[in-house]
Amino acid sequence: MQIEARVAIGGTILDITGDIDLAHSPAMRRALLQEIKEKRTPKVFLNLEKVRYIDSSGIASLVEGLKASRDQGSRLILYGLSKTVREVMELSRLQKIFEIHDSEAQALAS
Amino acid sequence: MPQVDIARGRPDDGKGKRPPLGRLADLKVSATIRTIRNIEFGGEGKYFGCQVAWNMALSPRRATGTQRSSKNIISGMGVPVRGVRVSKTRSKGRGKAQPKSEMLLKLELQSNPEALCLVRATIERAAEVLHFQAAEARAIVRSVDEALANVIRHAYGGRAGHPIEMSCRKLQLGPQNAAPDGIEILLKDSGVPVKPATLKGRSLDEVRPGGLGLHFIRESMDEVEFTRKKGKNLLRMVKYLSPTRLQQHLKENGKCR
Repeated sequence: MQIEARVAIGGTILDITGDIDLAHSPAMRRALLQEIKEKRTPKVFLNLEKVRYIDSSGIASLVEGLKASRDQGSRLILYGLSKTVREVMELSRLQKIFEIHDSEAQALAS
Repeated sequence: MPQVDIARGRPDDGKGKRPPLGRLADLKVSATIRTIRNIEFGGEGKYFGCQVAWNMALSPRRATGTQRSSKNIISGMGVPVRGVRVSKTRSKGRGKAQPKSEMLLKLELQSNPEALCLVRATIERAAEVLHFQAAEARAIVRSVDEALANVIRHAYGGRAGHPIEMSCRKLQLGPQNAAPDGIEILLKDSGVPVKPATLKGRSLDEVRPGGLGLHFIRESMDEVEFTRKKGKNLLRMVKYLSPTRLQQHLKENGKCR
């Protein structure tokens, strides 16, 4: 899994590539919490277009990021979810808890 | 893309030279896989797509559900599936409809999270070979991945290098044809005993990290059983082909049921 950060309007985009599983979710968690807690970025966009798989540990990292962003008064915005990622979100009943958009343009405009 | 001869466990650089094993050495494929080839790496060896040649002609396994001890059905819908009732109280012995099964593959791996992506690719291909639809295949992959992650995290406390055995069998409920009716996956580990009382998952109404893996497995598989036997944790998961998918498969192959 690879994570790259880009500057966006009002925040940072984290481009995730690969599988978010037990081996790699800790790295995503660190990157998320660094943006939210340490850098206090007001909007963190998580680009999941190139994520083929996410497991429960990845979902747990997202939930942790969401809680941290609420604590900071910032926003965590997800976009580009694949069918596999959407299925896991629905199984977790979290699709309505997260702010999710189809595309980067929609996410940035939100 | 370099290719890997997984049976030998080394990437082939195309020049006949084989680089060091690296992390793949943690996963040993044994016994019933005849050949696995054309593994492609992307990134730093963290993506695997594989084509697997299956050995489908192995001895049938012992009848499902017999000779078990301390069985705890943590999910298991207990629903009749084409004449076979699979539940805690199901009938045993001769004369009862019991699914036949054939070994598809056995994997011996270590409790290394890096091995999970390779197992996912293998299970996905196995589900495709057994004619599961894409969504069902994803459900099977998800369950196996979550179950293995639980073994690594809980049974082995996150420590790498401990053994996990996985076997995968093709289930056949029909008496006279070779159509697959389902897939059975068995995981065996030598970790600390798992307390059945802890295998409850949690309410999804509560938004908090963790505790979702078991929920995913329950939602994704038709049967889930946990057993402790001879000092080992055994997890058995079964997914049946949907009736429409089975009929479609039989029709395509000129058979009817």
